[in-house]
Amino acid sequence: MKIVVCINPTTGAAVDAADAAVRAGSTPVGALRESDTHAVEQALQVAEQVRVADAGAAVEIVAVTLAPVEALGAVREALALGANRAVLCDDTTVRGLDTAALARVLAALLATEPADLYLACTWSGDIDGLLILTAAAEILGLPIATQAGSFELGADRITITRQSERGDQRVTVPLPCVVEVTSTINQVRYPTVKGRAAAQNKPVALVRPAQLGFDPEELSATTRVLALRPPARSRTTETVTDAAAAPGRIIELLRERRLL
Amino acid sequence: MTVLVHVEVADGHPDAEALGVLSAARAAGLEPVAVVVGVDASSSVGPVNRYGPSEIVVVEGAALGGAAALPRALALAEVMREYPGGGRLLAPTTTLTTEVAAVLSARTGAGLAWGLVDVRLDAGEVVVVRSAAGDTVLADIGWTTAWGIGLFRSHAFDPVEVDGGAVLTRVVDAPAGDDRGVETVEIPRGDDDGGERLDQAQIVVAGGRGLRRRDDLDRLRELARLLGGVAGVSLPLVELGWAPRSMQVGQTGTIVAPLLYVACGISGQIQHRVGMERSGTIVAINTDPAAPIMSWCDLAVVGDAVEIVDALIRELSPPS
Repeated sequence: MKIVVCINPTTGAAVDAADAAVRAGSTPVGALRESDTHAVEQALQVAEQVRVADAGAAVEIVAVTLAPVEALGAVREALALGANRAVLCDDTTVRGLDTAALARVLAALLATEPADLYLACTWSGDIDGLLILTAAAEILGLPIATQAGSFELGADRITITRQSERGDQRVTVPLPCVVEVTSTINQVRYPTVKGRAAAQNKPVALVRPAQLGFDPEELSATTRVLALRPPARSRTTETVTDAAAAPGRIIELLRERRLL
Repeated sequence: MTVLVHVEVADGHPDAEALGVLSAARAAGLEPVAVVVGVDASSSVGPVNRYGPSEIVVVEGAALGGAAALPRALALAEVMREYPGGGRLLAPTTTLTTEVAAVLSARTGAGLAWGLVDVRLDAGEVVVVRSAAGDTVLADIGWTTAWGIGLFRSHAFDPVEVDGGAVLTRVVDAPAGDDRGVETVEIPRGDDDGGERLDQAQIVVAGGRGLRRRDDLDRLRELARLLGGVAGVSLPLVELGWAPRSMQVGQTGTIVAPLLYVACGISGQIQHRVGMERSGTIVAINTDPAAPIMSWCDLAVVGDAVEIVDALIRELSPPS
């Protein structure tokens, strides 16, 4: 079985970049994001399950990312955790693209690594990861199950459960497929010293979008920023630093505003 | 100018958020075509008609029985094909509409704009407004593609009923396309875990990373009960496994707009802010005076959230 883990499928374009920067916070580009560790962990668990069922089974985990070359550090962390090899597609020429256009680049990248299972864990505070993965799966013609909170590997299919606005759902997808997991799905392991040492010798292929079968010049963003402005500020903030007086002031405010 | 609005029907009711988008499109001077989608979509023509669509297209059929995105996207693509010059498709943001938008984008080349809070007509073009970078920037966005899809945040608009005559209604059978072998089964809801009530609540008491123990959530529930509201959490507590996702307030959880929002030990990161900033009165309790939420709430209390919640519970509890 071949499993591809797609690391950090998020946008970098225009206003999306501003959101991405806020969201990344203090996580350096060279570190594996917390959400990505859950995708890697899920791949490791699937690989272990396949080997338990058949000790002779060939299992390969490939970490794939569309990112600046500085993300090599994140890729090495995935390798230290147990991925066998990695592909880093330098996103320099496509960094200005938006969600819909990046989905096409990601689909082309994933197409270079035909697999039984593509796994990803997107940052759950925004929807761009969900948009990009779902669109990429559609371009590849693959079935997809998203926001998996549980994961069960069958003989030729995967069953997940997820929470949605319409209630909980159980989704079954046949292999090959794309599965997006949430960060509550598993407890991640940490790389061992031995794993870190081994990672240094595992192959990392560096590719460029132009090698994925299209001209990056011909791919353009599907949206355009026409104007930027600060939002109107609507609240004036009163600050209470005396913790002893705080409960009284809160109750007073609620009464003033007829909330109590 | 004509725009399509995706109105999803579940359990016989049109999505109120979609009716809000319909109202906003109407108010912006657009001519919104409500594309009402669901296994029993015809039953919602009456209710949808009250929100001023210029036309209603009903998309229904057995293919829409589950909650899968692909058959809906295929059906919407059929409707889009009737507008050979392209156009704009607007929708509220739910898991389902997000997936439908992604599939449609992949199949039709439509551009995707998301995180939207407003729409207007500007020199004959539909312009949408994206709130970005932790809501510190508003960006006017246009599409460069023939078709453009816009996903609006929940609670961006209130549905507004208008007087309207009968509108032309067409019924489209959802094509029974290839579902790629995906089976989606809805799991019956168990005990009410508060998810639905959170969306309707007029008072929300929410906890975040500033809580020390899972049990602290019970203190928040108690305060919520005394105030006549419900308890919620921020994303980190869901990730810690302390609370179900149905209790999560935020961009990917439930977006709320209650009269009162009490944030206990919540820093106010972008994705949480998006989920509650339209609340009437916001009280934030946090040990860190520099936490983002402390600069954009009504009352910022510097202190330990659990201690202050306990003091409020003592004050508000009826004398025994």
